[in-house]
Amino acid sequence: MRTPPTARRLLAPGLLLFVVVAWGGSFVAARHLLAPGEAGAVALSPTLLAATRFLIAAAALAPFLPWRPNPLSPFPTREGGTTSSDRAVKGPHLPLGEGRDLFTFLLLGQVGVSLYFWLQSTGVQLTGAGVAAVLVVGLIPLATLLVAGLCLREGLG
Amino acid sequence: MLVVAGQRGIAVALESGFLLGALCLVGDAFLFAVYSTLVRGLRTRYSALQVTAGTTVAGALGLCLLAGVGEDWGSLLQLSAAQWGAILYLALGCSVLAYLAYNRALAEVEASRAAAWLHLEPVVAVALGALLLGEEVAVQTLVGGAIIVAALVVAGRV
Repeated sequence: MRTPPTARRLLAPGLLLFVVVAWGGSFVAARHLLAPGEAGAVALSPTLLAATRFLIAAAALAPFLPWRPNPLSPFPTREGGTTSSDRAVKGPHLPLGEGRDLFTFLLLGQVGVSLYFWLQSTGVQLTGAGVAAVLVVGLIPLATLLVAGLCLREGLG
Repeated sequence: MLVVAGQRGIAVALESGFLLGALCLVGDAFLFAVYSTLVRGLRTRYSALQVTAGTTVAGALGLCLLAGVGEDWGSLLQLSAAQWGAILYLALGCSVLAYLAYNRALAEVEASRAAAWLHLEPVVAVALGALLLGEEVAVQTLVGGAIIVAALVVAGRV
């Protein structure tokens, strides 16, 4: 079935609007958990909030881990072997286990998820939802510029 | 006006750890930049969904190690239904569904056009913060804005 052209044109803006509202609202939800306004409400520590949030998210995303050719994944794996006979021949397919990639995933998990959201939760707790979002999102272009420049100079880019 | 905002901002900082929080958030922007630079290598071999899944699971492991010692996991049992709603919103809405939506959008428009939308994120946060949490907009937002303007001036000279 073909998607009508108007619906297709509105798809990306609709999705992006949802993303921006969800991510903008995340600072407010986090603040509400870290420093609840109501008397008697339990306040979570930044570490516990980040750990709980990502334990649940990890459980939901675990089926999409690149462990092996995954029937749930809409994307082909790097070796393209997705049939049961391929699996029978090759055994468990573990691109994650290919040393360097596993290390990169573990490193990026700490840089982009654990340290990132631990610092963000701490920042939201100590400042506020609005100011935290302004600082992080506002500084990302500059930080990216500086990091990219550094990588270029070091020949890492 | 920015000077006035800055002076009041320093007073806020001394009172409540505001400055430490702001430093955490500056560090956060740099972590994001390092992540987006390093992730490019993986993106040539794995789909966006697989990269998100891999880094989320790895990050969750790191956070559990971090929270394993000395954190009061029992406090989770005392959360209200609304607070659990907020956690599920963060976990499933923001860290799963929004990522999937963003990746789906990237199939429709170029990355730079999609990324431009993200500048609206602080606007949403400031508006919802004021509306739902009664956060004061003026001073703290001005301080944040002043830091960004200063940073951009520095960047212009680099």
